[in-house]
Amino acid sequence: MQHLVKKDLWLALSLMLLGSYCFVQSMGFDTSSRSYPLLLASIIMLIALQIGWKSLKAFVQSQDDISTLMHQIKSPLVSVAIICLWAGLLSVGVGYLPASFIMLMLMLLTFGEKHVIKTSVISLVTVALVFTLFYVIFGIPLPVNSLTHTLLS
Amino acid sequence: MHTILLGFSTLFDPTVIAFLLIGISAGLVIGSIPGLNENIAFAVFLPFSFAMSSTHALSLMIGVYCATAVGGAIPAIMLKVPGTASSVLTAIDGNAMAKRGHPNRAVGIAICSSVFGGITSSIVLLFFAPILAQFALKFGYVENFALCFLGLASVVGMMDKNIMKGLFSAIFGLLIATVGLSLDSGFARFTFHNSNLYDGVPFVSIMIGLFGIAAALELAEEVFTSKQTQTHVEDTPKLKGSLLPGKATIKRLLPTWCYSSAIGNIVGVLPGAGMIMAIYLAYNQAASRFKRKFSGQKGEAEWGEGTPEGIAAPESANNAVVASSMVPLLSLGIPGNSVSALFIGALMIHGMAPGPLLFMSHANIAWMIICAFLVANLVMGPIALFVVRYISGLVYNIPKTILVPCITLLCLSGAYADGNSMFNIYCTILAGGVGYLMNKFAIPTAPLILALVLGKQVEGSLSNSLNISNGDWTIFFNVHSHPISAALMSAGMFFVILPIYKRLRSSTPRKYQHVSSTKS
Repeated sequence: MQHLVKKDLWLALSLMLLGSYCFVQSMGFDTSSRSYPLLLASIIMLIALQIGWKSLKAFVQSQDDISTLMHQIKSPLVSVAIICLWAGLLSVGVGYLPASFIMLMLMLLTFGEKHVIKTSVISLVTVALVFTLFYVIFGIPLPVNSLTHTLLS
Repeated sequence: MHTILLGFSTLFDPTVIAFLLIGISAGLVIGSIPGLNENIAFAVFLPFSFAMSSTHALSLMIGVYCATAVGGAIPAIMLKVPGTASSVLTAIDGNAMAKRGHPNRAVGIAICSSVFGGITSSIVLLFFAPILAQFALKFGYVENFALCFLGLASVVGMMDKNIMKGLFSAIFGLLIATVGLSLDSGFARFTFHNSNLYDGVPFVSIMIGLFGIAAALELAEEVFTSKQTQTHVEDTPKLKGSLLPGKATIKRLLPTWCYSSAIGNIVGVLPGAGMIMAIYLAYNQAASRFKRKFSGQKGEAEWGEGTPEGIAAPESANNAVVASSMVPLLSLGIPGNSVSALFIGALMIHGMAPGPLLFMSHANIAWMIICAFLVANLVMGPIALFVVRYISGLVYNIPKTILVPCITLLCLSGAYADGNSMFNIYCTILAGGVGYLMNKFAIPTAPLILALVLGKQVEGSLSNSLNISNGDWTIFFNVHSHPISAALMSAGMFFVILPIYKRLRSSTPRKYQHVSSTKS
């Protein structure tokens, strides 16, 4: 059971799953398209076996502990959740400006910026600068809402 | 000679030079903003060229093209966030050197290396374009596959301490590149019935995710950790004093510059190979030289931890590709990479078709383009030194707590801008998470990127080569019919086998010692 704390063993298991999934998926392709992905999936499974075997042979070290990794990735998960919220707001049509403002506000607050007014000003200025650079100066389309689109056109 | 003078006389119109300088400054700024790259810059400037004369439009675009690769190195060094795809390797040693307290040296080496690479490729373009174009024509399916194999083998071989994880990264990249309609039959592979995936995964979004978002997540982890442990967040390195490298550094880096520029020039000439391939090959070559000459010496960093060669090699190579990628375009009408393909658009807007006829029908413009590359690279050094100092003073003094959300927003906006699609954003977020986890599991992301770029080419060339040879794999090693392929494949095999051989050789005495100590 002590081997289960090793992160490389978990990596090997994940790679084996990935390789197996791709292998099974590739079996469903037509004959002329399947051989190349089948070959790649097989190599991934072989690599998984090698990494797993090597991990089982090695001694447990603190930096290789999966619990250390789980602790490390907790904090960036908050950032990922905020980015996903931003993408979710954009996909329901909230618009680039309000969604980005909310994302920056939340990120700054979670990073420890305590003053709401300061945070709001920073978010507002940053969003305005990025929007001006992309949308106004370079003319790159951004997912703006209909109100912004009407106002700017 | 008179044709070259004709080019210079067209270029030395004050307004043409002014547009070239504007292009260089704009390119440096665009390159230094994560999320913006030379493709976006070109796509943006292309419509403007309708309203300009051909000489003005082309000189502006040449300025932008030459300078974005240099600009991309700045955030790569200061923040470990590559501004453009060509600076992904600069981020490794560049940022490590900056963190060790030498940001000036890192930035100075990057600029000088870029200028060196750019000037050599401009000279090559000026004098050897027709000869190199003939060499590029010798590359068929077999040679293309061998070249891709060499590129991937050199990157995997570079991970000598972690070859299996490097190999996984490359194979994973090749597997991702199979997403989309099959080249042979048009069968939809790994598309999950999503029409956005029929053309394959969006490369720019994946690149932004793997490097930009993953770097932002690492910075976020740093900020959170310092908050939890009540320690001060490490500041972004500051640029103070001269950026120019000393005489000793220049003397030391001269061979690396020459080798890397040569690699960049050769790879740039080959259609489809591109900057990414060039920087990896140059980086690998520099790694071998560093390990041979400097590794283990007093005061020397380990490879990947802030070595001057680790910055000089990719920067010389990527700028060497810039002008040399124009060789197949101007001589044969074949674009060397995506940016030169956009360049064709600019030429066609002004009624010019690239290829041999261009030198007959519009000789002044064709030679002006070539001369503009040389002049752009000559003046880029001083402009870059000024712009870098200005940008670093303005942007990189911002605390990390504010910088991380800004980088995130820029990266996500850049990903959307690449294809005007929400799907690109989803891909970027996913790639960011995968890139972050890969870093945590010590899986190098570099082979993945190269494999992703070369994936379609590898599959297509392999399939066509085997069709030609009726399934005979020895075609790649046939010295008589495909000598270039045989040489490239042998070099590739050497790159993979050498680290394995070295490891076996170093592990044998240890085993022996272990056995003998157990016996005693």
